[in-house]
Amino acid sequence: MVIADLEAGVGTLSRIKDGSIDLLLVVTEPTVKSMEVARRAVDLARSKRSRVIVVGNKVVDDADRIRLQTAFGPDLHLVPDDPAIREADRDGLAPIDTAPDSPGVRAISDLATVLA
Amino acid sequence: MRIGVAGKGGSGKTTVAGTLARVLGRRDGQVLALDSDTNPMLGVSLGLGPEVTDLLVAVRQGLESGDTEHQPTIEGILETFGRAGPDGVRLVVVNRIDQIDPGCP
Amino acid sequence: MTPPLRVAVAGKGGAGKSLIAGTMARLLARRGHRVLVLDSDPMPGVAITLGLGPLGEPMLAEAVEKDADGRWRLKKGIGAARAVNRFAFTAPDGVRLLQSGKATADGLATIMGSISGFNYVAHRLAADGVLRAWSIVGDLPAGTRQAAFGWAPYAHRFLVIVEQTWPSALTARRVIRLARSRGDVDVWLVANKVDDRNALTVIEERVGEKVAACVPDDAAARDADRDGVALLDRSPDAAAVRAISALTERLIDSTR
Repeated sequence: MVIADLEAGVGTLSRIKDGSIDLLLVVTEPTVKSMEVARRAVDLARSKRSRVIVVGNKVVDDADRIRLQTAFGPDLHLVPDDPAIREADRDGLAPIDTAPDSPGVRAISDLATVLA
Repeated sequence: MRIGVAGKGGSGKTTVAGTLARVLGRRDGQVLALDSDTNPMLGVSLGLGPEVTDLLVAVRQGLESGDTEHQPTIEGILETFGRAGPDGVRLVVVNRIDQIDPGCP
Repeated sequence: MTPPLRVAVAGKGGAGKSLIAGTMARLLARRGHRVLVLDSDPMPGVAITLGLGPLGEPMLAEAVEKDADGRWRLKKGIGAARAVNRFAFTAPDGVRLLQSGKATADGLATIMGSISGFNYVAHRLAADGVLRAWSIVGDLPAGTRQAAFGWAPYAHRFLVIVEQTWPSALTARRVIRLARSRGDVDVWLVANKVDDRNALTVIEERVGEKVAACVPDDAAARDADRDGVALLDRSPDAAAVRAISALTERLIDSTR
């Protein structure tokens, strides 16, 4: 099992050989800029025949959820905005260590079950 | 399975990648985590801490200055540019992921 | 009019580079400066904070052609000033925006002409007589890519934007090191989305640098970002705008 954190944006993605990634997770916030990049990443992944799951991150309310689902479909994986994750980032710690049962961490962990 | 995580800077892709790597590591016993971002931060989300994360980047950059030697084997790559983390996750800071060449990370 | 400002804005993705660069550019223009904004990020950014909304095809592609050796160069008769006049977008307050191509599903290949044209112009700005009087604000790509610094040869000053997180501080450390390696630049560390004194102290310890200015956490800024509109237009009295305005004034004062 290999998981690669790619360069921000679509630069690396555009250079990767077709079929070299089995699954692409595209992480986006409910902002115009973030969703624009995500749209491009999804198009790229499809052109390279990779399976794609869009992860809608830092979802605050229904408006955010609807915005994301409208753009990426009802199957997108939602991760709620989570102060515990922000706090872990401030302290330089892994959220899974500091707040394993926090809603955001749980939602990310649930991705593992969707992957198989 | 080879998983890639993409997204705009600041969207939380590294947090997602790191947290998921730990969960998969717990489930499967081992995971290889590659940080190919030009500004590597995955070590922090994995729980290795900021200083270790920065150290791995320095080692990686040492290749360019000649302070670090190229590694001819995968084991060598893991040894020099990698670090074992919690839950069976092994982190390697790599350079270009679009040219995966065992000789040059 | 005060002397022109030559500023490049750097920092980790999401730290607030585009917000600060775009808002500052509009405020400078309102102060009477002729302002050129350079956006070399392959991801969408400062066009939105300038109040232009997402833009289409980068026009700079029309300014370039390949020579006999297959290298991109500006077409005959097009220098830096003319490229700006013909190919820069015009934002509110008369700010001109020269934008490098934005990566699409086709990758970077299709916009290489635009990127090359952009780099060509960026490198000739400092020397161009016509543009000498212009203020330039550069919004650099996220992170620490070395090339990002090669793309800001016009900059006398680097604003390094940092948030309260460790990854942001690590990035700021790396960026400051890179900026200083050029030898002739002035670096200002700007703390964004920060409200309290303790957080500032922590940032300074982690980055190893004094914070020169602060921009507070601002719900209005988050809303504008969500909707892809300029904060300056939607919430001109927002706390973040006032802070960026104060920073702009200090930058102007320090170049007198």
